[in-house]
Amino acid sequence: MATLDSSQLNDIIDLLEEKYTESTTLDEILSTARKKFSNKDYFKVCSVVSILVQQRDLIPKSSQKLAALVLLHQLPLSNPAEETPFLSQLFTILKDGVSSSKQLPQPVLDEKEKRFLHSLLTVKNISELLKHRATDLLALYEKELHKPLPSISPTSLNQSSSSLPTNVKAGVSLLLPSVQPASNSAAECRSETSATTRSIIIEAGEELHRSYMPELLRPPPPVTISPDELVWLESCHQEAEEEICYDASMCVTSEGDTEARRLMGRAFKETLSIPQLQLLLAHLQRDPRLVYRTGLTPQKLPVLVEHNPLIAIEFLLRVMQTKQLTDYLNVLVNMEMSLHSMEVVNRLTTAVELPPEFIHLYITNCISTCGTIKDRYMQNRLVRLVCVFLQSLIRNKIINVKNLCVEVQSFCIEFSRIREAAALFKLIKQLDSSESSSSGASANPDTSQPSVTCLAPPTADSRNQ
Amino acid sequence: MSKQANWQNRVDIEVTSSEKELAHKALTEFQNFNYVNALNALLKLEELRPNDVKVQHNKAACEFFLSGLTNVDAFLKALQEVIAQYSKSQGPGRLPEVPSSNEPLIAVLNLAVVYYHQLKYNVVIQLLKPLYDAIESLDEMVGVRVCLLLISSHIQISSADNAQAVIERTRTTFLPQPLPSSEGETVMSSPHQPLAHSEIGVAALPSSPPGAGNSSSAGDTAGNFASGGDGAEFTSAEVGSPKEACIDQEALRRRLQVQSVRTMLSFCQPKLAAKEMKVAILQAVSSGDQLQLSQICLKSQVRHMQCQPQKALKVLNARTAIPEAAPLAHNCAITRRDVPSQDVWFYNNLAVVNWRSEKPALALSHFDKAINTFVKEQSKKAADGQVPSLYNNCAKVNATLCYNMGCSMLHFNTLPMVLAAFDLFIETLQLYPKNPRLWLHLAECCIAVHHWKRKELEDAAPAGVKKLGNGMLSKLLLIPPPSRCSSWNSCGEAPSDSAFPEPKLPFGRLCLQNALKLLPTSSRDLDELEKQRQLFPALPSLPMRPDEVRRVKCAVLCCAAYTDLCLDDHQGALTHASALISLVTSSPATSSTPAAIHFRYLGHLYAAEALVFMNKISPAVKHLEQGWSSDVISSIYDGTLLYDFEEELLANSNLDPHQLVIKYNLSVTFALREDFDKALTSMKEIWDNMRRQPPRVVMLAIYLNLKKGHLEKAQQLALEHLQTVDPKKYNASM
Repeated sequence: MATLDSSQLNDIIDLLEEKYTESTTLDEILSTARKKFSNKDYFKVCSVVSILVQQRDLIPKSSQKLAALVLLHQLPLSNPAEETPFLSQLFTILKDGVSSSKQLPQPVLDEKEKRFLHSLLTVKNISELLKHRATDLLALYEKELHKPLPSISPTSLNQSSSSLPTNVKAGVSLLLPSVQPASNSAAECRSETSATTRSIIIEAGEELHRSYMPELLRPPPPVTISPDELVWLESCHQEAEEEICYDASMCVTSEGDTEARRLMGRAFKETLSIPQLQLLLAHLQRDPRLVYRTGLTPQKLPVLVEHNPLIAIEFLLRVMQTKQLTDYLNVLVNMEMSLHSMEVVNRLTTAVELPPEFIHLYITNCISTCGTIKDRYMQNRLVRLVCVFLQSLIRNKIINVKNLCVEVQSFCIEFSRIREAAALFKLIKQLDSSESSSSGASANPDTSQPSVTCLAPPTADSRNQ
Repeated sequence: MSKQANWQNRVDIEVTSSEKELAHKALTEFQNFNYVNALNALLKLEELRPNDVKVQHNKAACEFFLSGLTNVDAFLKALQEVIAQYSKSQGPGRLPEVPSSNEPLIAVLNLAVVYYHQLKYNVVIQLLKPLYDAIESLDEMVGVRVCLLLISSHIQISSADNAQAVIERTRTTFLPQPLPSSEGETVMSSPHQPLAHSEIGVAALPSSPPGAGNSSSAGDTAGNFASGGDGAEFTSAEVGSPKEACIDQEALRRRLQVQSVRTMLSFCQPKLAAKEMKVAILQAVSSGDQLQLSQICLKSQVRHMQCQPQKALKVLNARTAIPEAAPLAHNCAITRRDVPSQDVWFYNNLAVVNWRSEKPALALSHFDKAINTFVKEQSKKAADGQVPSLYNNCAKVNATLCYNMGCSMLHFNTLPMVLAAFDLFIETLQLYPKNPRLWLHLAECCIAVHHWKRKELEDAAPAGVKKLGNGMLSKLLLIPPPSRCSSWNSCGEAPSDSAFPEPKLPFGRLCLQNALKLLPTSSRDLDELEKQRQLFPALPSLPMRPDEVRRVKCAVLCCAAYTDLCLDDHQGALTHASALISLVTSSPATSSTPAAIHFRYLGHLYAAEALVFMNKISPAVKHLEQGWSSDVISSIYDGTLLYDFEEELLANSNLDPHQLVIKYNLSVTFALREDFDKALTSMKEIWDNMRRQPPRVVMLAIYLNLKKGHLEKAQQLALEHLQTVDPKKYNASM
């Protein structure tokens, strides 16, 4: 907000000059003020006037004060219905007779001046009031001094200041009276007072508009750089994988690959001859990753197992380390049981450690397949195979028979007519008894008796005939 | 579909001997850096095999090398075309799930390399994922490249978990080891355990014949870095020797070792990194390799991370013992990366070590040297008409240098330094917009600039008292320190919603909003982070530990509350300050650290001020009373800059400045509540503990006396304790 320049400040002092205020009607003073200042400056003018009113010794005469009060009340208004922004201050002055800041020990207004302010705030027809000169009005109030001042409704007095936030109404003026308050009694120094007022107002300049209110301290937040925040630069070493490379496999068809693919294509359809088989295995030996390039997928595994179990085993051993292994094993478990598939599983179990759940699932499948076959001849064949397979697994300690005891035993009993089933049963029994003898000989000394978990032994030989 | 089938047929068509000859010629020429001849051969080959994508790919590669690796856009386009021709999917170079040997894998790999150098690490990871998933079925050379590139990309984005997983899988897949048990997949090992080393040399890979696998892909020696080196593997495949497609396992092992050192550093596990580093160096030495600059750089970093600055410096200085690589011919030199140059990284890292050893001034000067060297080198290259090649992407080095320099300048916190730091941070922001700490620093710059400008204003108009008038009529005009309302406009902080990056509070507020969005939102998220000891990415720096994330969040909230207060958003300030207080007190583990105590103190201070502005005086007093507790006195937080008034208080008083600030604010708050007696008591406590009263305290005393109606006392205080200003001089200065 730009402040008033010194000529404008001079104009304000001129308006409130003692002689002028004594000789002119309040109306005229107001209209002169309106002429001298533009609309937008009214507020600034009034703030200066308000300071002058509060600093009672700067405009000591009553006529000056009356003029100042009129300016405060009327100048900022463009129509009579409005309220002046200085209304609350006027109310406060009227109420306490002092300025809001209590900076002055003596009241700002004397009794006569108060009566004028009272009329200014209460009278409906203000223009009538302003037709008079200040001196005339003062003479009028002089006579009424004995009458009590009619009170103004207390609500309007209170609301004037309470509506403002605490931190807004808390300000104090920056202008303090000097240590020795000047006495305004000396009439002869009237002109001097006016000149001093002028100089004080002009010197104070911008500060006149400011007020002081203590502010809370607001220390700024700390600036922190973490010790490990600064960035280490790596050297400009370039690694091979960060370089653009040339595709050297262009126009290079590895003979091994083509040959192996051709053979594999065959292997899916028919059993390969021994030399073909050897050739394919040789290729595989040379390049273990060939398995991925020959077109073998889990879906194609069953045909490969049926036609060329040897190749299937080699291939499965190669994919052992990959994520795809489970897919292959799943297919293997669920494919139709056959000599070849069993052979593949058997070889696999001896070569690597397969997941036990896989083996169990496979055995369960085998057993149930045997039960469902209608062709008696085929069934016998399969049962024999399964029995041999199981014996092999047990002997090689690939499975723990305990886990499958009930299942396998019932299988043996169901097919006890077949010699191999009986043999398997004997094997299980032997294992069981040797275990129980080693672990609980004292509890069950009669080792020829079956243990509690095993069913009665069938007479395999007799039934088989 | 038909096109693909057609293409498939083309590849299966027997390659004629003349085509083979041309291909061989092109490869040889390429390996000898004769890109023109190679291109000619490829052009002839293309006439014979117009549909062969590999020919098209190699032609594009040749042209790219011919352009000095500068024509990146054309190369990218060519690669994408090659891949699109094969791939059914329209995505950026996606391949079918199970790749076959006929696929243009090298094209995909090259595409990834281009993206890698363009710092699009996430794209690289996406692009390589299908290949990585089918890693076992890839050609070994391609597979290793895929893995190594993935590891590097993960490390670059501080995704240490993933890097670790890929390293482990690379080890199990490509390095000799006993046949795995039923578990085919690699299990990610915990960062807190040392890496389980594959049993070195216990068993050979089933297929690799003994003695095989010493091909030239080590990439370690200066003469062997050229990309043609890989071509050698493929040519041997053509010959069909038993060594075909075998990688140099020793080199791979060493490379993985180094990468796992870097991963450990990303995990903020310097001890484990040091262990790995030791093994890596031992392996390098035992295999007869010369120590390289990169190893020195890395080892020094490990030492630095272990908080052993002396050792780090020693290792850094060992760089002089490494002989410089012989200069290379131009056409072969383009394939080499030379950014950052040795001087640049050396000075930068020297500065980082100095910073850690609490020598910020020295660090600043070294950073300055690093930046100057870098700028000089770049401008010299530009003057020579050199266009930076794909490998020499300066953006990252530039951003790193800017960030480091910005941090060390912000640390000094003077107006010129902060202004410069702001510009540097803005430059870093182009590359790392997702770093909350960077946004915080930007806001800190804005706050500091605001503060220093205000300070300048205060220094220009010192508080005092002016005698006006003379003789009978004289007045005292108090000149208080500039109030915030007046300085706000003078500092040019007019409210604006412009997102234009300038070091002003409105932009600072925007930065803080961004930082808050990037940080974990709720306190529960933070607790979760702490419980799982997760790291929070903060590129370009190493990731932040959970306690650092919490500290950053506190700092952001603190700055936000302060900025809101300065911008008259009192509700916002109260929200942020309350969030700050509850965040600080939520974690019992960290609430007693000096940083936390300081943040809690500021939180209460800001909340109180916001409440005063909202005319809620009683809760404000409560906050101030809570803000002071005895533990504040013991912890003047290291990073705290004591600003003006606090400094003044500290210099003049026996009491803790934090306590004095609280007392002062209490006194002001009581005064605003018109409880002048209490206000006077608080003020007196300050007054009695000061050797010389600062103008603010005097002004408060005058104010309280005026309000109490003690005019004479006020006048006396003004004349005794405030500096008398000569009216004329004062007016001239206005």
